[in-house]
Amino acid sequence: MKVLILSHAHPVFSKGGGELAAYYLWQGLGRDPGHQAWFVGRGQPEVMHKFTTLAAVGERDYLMAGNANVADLTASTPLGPESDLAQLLTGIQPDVVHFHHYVHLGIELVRLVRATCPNAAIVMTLHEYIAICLNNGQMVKTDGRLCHQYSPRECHLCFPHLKPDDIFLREQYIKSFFRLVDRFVSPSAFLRERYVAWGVEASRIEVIENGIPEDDRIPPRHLSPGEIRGRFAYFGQINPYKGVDVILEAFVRLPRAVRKQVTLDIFGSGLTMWPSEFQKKIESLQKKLKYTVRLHGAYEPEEMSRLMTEVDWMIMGSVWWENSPLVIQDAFKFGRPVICPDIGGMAEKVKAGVGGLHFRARDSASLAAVIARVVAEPALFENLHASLPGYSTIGEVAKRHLDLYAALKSVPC
Amino acid sequence: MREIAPGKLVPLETIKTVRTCIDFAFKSSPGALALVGWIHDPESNVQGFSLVQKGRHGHDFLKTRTHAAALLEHGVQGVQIARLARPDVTKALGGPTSSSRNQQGFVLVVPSLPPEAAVALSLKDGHLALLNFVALKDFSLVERTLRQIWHPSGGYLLSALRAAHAAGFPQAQLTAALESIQAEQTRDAGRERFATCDQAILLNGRALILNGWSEKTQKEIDRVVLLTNQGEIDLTAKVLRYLRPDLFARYPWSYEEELGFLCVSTEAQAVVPDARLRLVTSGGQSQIIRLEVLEHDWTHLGEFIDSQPVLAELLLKQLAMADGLDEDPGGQEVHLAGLRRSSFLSRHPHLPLHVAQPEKVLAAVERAYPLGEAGILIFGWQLTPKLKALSLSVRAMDGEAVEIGDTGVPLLREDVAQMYRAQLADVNEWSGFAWLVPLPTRHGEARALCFDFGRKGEVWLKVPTDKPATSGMNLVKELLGLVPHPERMRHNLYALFSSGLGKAVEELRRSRPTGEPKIEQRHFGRTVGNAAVSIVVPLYGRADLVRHQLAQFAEDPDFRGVDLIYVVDDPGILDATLELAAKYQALFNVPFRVAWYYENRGFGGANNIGAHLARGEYLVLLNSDVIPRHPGWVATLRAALDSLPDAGAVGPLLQFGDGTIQHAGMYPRRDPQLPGFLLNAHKSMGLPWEGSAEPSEHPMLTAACLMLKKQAYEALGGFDEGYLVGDFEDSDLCLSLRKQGKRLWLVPEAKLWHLERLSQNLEPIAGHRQMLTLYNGWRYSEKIRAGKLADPTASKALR
Repeated sequence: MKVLILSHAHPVFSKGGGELAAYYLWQGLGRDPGHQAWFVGRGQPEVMHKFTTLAAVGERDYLMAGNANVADLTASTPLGPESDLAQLLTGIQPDVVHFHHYVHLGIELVRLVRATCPNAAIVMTLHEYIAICLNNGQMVKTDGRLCHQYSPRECHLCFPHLKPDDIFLREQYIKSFFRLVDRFVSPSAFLRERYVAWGVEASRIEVIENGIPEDDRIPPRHLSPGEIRGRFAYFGQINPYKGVDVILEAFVRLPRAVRKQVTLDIFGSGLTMWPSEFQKKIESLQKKLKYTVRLHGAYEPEEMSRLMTEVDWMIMGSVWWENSPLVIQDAFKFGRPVICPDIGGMAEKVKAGVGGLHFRARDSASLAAVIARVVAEPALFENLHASLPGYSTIGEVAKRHLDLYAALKSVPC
Repeated sequence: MREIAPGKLVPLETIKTVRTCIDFAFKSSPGALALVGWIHDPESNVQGFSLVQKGRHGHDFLKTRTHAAALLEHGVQGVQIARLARPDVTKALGGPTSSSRNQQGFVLVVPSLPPEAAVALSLKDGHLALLNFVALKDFSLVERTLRQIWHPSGGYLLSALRAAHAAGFPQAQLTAALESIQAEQTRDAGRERFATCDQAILLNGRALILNGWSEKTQKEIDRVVLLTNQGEIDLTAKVLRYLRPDLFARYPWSYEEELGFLCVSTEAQAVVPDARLRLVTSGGQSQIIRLEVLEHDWTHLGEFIDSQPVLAELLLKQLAMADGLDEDPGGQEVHLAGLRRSSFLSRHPHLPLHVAQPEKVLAAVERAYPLGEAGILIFGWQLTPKLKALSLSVRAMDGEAVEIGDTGVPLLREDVAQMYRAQLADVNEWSGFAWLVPLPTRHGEARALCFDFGRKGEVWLKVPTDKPATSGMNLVKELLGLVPHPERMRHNLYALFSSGLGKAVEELRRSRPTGEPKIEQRHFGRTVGNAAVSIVVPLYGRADLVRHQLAQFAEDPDFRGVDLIYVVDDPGILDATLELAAKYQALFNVPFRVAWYYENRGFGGANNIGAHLARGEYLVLLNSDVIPRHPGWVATLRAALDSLPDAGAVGPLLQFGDGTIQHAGMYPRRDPQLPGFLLNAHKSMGLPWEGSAEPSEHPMLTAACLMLKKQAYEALGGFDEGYLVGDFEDSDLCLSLRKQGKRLWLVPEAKLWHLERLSQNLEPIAGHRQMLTLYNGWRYSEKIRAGKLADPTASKALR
């Protein structure tokens, strides 16, 4: 089977969970000699050629230009039969074209694919909520509150320069392309529900977890005599959505006696891309915690196993719903319990008491209480560690996709 | 004061055709100025007096090239300008020759001269000539000079100072000096003198014209007799008394009493050089005046009239009533017409746009729109607190006058009321007017508004007829924007439109460049040859809706054979439209055309052009903000149009994005707040659709999506393009169809979204937008009243 994967970014230049998942799928499909897979990931203008929209970066591995924004998702590249992508598709004649996300490259590419390869199955993996929510697809209102449902009238209150009709029109436009998709894949049941509520038929969305590379579990950190399991770590971007500030606030709230027994290691970067108010907030919280918190900066996925060795707990602070964070699977893979907010994709992947604990989302006091509890109850770690769930490997996930493709291809298109 | 374009300063000496002399100049410290002098201006180069701003340039300001200036007008901020005859100047310049016409004395009083301002003459070519004078400071010198200028200018100066006093002219000392000189002069005149003859003119040796004044009123004068050596001629019955403003200062009662006299006699041909005039009072007083008779032909008389603005109209009227003024029997009329025209033209440039004469009238002409044969629309305000004008008319140079009999619908002028509340006891807030005067007027033709107070004189205002800076829709918007506080005169707006405003809008709209536009078009995708259905979509304001429509049309197989025409009615989005068209045709593969013509012709015009280009037998008029809910709607509408009884047009159910009704038939509506207007309402708008799927008949349908036969559309002449911007065209079209016995059907099986907030209200609903809608509503209601359209309120079954 010939499968072409289109992704909103390329992991060589961008390390987001969505593009990593797409790339892992490509790698997984390519392992099977009975199948061929191509990867086309969006590259930012700086890495592209001037007069063509495609650039090969490896065997069956391409970059493609595109600047479709969140507001209208419309492609900036040519869309006709003479376009570079149409030519590539015509040359390959794929059986399946799999979209991993629709932002950046542009929603219209779905119709381009349908017009160019009328017999190919079109599969689309949904990542966050960009079709539904103009606020970067977070389903968080612009005043900071969580958003529970799509409604053009309410969206207008978040984006007053857009009329409800503009938002409705955007919905109808996106849906005109969604109708051309044969099957959607959602990495979490929670995300699937949100898309169903927005209007995609439930029967058209299948839940398949994203896969990650296989690796060995690491034994729990070696403790010195009398030492407790007080090492917490955060892995990921430092931005307002990820709630690093919530985590820091929780540590500030800890009673001094507890705080003396704990540390927080932050692996990740990106702080400087955000408004100075947010930067100042993080910096001032960090100052209050100078003996407790350490900022380590960016890391590569390959380093994770080594970094995890010195960690007891993984903490997430996200103030939005999330979808299916790869970092949770990483924690499970390496054998570290997760403390995360009790909403959305996080609550779905981490069941309270099974490999992890919940705190009330966006509530640093609640997180502080959970931290105090794990410090006070050493047995808790052992229980959670013992109940850690498994994770989806690249191979398993590739297999599930191949089954899906095969099922779709047996139905005449 | 009216701002005028900055002008270049030129030295007065370099202007060969203008001579001026300042007889007297007085300047007080807080900036009050009084000037007396004369201007000899045979070629009428001088437009008026201006204030020139010296700015911060100090004494170097003469070197700067241009200067901001404002025209001084009589009555504004207490400014007094009087013009008077100066026989002494005429004499000094060598008698009344053809080169001495228009020579005029003047008195100018400015109660408060802005700091850093100088007085200049505004010239026709836009240049400014500074008036040079040395203001007197030594008061003994002031008195001596005042005595010298007493005759003929002193009376005017005194009355100007008194008038300016109210506005704050500070110099009581100057007034006092003038009053004492006046008292002297009157004393010197002696007991016997109670009258003066200013001019005695023998016209063509055929008629004697006497002009003068007497302190005795009409009632007090018993007899006026001309004494000649051939006997006496009794002129008593021919003497006409009139107001002499120049005497107000000397005889305060002359505000009420007409002290001037004028007499035209054709019995007195044989006047000998030593003719005298005897006046006898009822009290037995008698005075004999020796006449210095000047012999004038028509030309000399013309010059005399031009120099006598107060007298001109009266004298021309008197002469028109006399017979035998010319050898040639037809000559009199020709010459009088010439005089009337020349008098009008010499006066016209100096007419004010604003007068403030509380004893008669306070008024302003603020804006006027010449409308060719249809007349002229004049905006302004008027207050006549004490007297009522005998007549009100607009005059043209050849004596044409059109009376404004019905002063129409008054406009609310709070600003005017505010301005005069302190000065006048009782101020009417409704002083504004918008008069459509049926005197054919083109741009640049001289027009004057005349308040006639009988023997109390006339007050003339200039009616500007300059070519407006804009045209077409912008001009219409400007005009409608002039109606003050439309929200406070809702009760009367219909009457306002009917009283002439509506007709004026119609005329101005027509004034845009006519002729068919050159239409260009481009095909995108393959050309649809034998299409049965053409869909016309006008584009205005935003082009991106094309992308949204095509995305939905792409899923409808019908669109492979539909003749889809986008009409760009907005030159500003042409490039964006063509770019979008090229990009998205490649993707959606729906064939269509884009037509454009570099103009905005409004909703009606754009549809008419699209319909003209249409190839199909069936025509769908579609808004760009309407997108289908499902494929097949075109075929559904077509089948309905073919099969429903007497179907003239069919329309689908239109829904908002939330699924509620946007349009399910249109109904006539009256609004008690807007009496007279017949408006449209969408029934059940915003409510959930609960009707049946069966077609239903309605009084009107929206053209947001409407199908009818192209032939039927063209037989009606398409949309009526007389509506502005886009309103009522659809109900008008529907009622035209119904007048032919056709019926209108809603076909709810076809459903489309109508996101009307996207294309409408691109501009805020401010004054003129609301007034545009009401104009359209007025026009529509009038067409129904006149029976040009079916009456939508007539059929009870359809209500």
